[in-house]
Amino acid sequence: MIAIENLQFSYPKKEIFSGLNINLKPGFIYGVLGKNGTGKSTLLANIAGLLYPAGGSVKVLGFNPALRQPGFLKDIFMIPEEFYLPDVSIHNFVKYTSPFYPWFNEELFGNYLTEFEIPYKSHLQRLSYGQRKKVLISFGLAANTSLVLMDEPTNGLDIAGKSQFRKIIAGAFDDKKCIVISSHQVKDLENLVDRIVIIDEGDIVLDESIHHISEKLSFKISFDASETSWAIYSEPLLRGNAVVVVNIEGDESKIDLELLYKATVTNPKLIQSIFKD
Amino acid sequence: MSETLDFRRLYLLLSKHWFENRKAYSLFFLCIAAFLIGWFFFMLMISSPYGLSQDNQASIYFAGLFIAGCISASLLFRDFYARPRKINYFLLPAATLEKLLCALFYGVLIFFIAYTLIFYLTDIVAVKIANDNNSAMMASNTQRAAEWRQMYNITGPLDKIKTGNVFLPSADMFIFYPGDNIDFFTAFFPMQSAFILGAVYFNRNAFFKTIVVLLVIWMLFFIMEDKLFFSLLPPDGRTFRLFTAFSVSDASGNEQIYSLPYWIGNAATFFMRFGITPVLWIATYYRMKEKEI
Repeated sequence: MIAIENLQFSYPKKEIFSGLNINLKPGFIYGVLGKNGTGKSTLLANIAGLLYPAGGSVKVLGFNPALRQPGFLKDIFMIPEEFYLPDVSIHNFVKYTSPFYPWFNEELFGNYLTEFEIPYKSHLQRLSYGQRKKVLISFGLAANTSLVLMDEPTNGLDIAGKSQFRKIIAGAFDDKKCIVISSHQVKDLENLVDRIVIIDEGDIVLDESIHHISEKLSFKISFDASETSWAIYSEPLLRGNAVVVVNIEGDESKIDLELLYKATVTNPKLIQSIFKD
Repeated sequence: MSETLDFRRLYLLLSKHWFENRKAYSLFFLCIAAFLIGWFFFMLMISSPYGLSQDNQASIYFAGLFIAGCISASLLFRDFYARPRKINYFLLPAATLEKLLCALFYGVLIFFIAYTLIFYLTDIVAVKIANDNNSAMMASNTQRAAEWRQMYNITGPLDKIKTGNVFLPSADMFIFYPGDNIDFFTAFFPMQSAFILGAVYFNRNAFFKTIVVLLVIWMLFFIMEDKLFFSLLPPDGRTFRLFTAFSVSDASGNEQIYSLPYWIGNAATFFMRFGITPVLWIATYYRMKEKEI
């Protein structure tokens, strides 16, 4: 669905990507993790055709995104971190925007709004930032596009909104779709994504499925000093240490995305060598 | 569906654009109406029976057309002002050509029709008021009426002022040489197109930046003309027919004209009249295609 080869991209004073390669397939919800400024949003913008690569190739759904052809645009939906919605009611927003998305399902849209507790008769500019984001998320998922790109979608959502978000994403997903969620709030992605991509310094340092990660790594709280010493990553807690260790016993533990992220960016080569086996 | 131009999609885009921007357009046209009313009011205050002559009406029409047309052109791509709006604009599933045609439909065609209608609505009322005022003045035996009779050599009843027709060739201006007229309309549309292109090039303050660029181009043109072009030609001559003919007086005072073939001058004039606007629209199209967030 998305094939990126040797992607090169720079801003005037900063190089972001100098040969990034990645393939994203349908049937997965990808969680793209990385600290601020590592290129998560830039990667999404390149995929959506909002920024053009300086070198390499980006193919999305068989299209070159940079051409911004209608056939491509009608099959992707992006929920950017900073978004714009016109000064109209939700009803009129749907009336005038949904015809551009041939697979838009108004009933689904209504269901998502109900889940988010947003009245359908609301006027967009009279809603709060978080509520407007919920409307956009609902619209994007109801558009039934093959690819949904979300850049920090949980920013601005309240606690209830974040759990509603996870529930809606899980319900909207099917094997023909690919959802890419970029976030630095890793806790929001737990129990939602089924593949993790970690970007650091403009490079993909990890691209693995949740299942494979829990097969290979174990996440636990350890009170054993020797275990902490040979852990891939550890950090002290009030009592004991949170550790990431190689899963020798074969028991699958719950993945702590925050620990996984820290372990990967502090020890990328070790993590990569574990997943090569 | 075509990836370049689909009329159903264009219709959807026009409908969406109108619905989302109708308040802004209404406000803009109300401002134009207020501006014209203010201007006509000022002209009615001028103590002259010919303050609203047909020439003056045409001047008001064209001055307003140039000012409002160039400002509205600069605002056409206000979606490029901020990143969130740019993202929304670029990701809307329509072709770049359709987005450009939508902008031209509202910014050029609808603007021109609406401006002309607003002008005539205000102009007709202003002319009627002017005629009523003039009749009342001439019927009175005031000092001013006597001054008018003397100043404007009025012996009988004052002729009624007629509503001006801005589409008559008499509204022409002479830019190059008599016979090489570029009328205000054929000067307006290239000018407006330059501001449309400027709106795509400059994300912020497009109106002022475009004015600066046009002034720089104008200055460069005159510097080139003065320093390069005329330095190659005999002194005390002048060019006409868009620089394709040169006239100079010989020692006996007879005028000598040196001319390139007529078709070159005709082609240059044709391009000035009808070529610049589409060329600038095409440039706008390619600039839109290459634009990023």
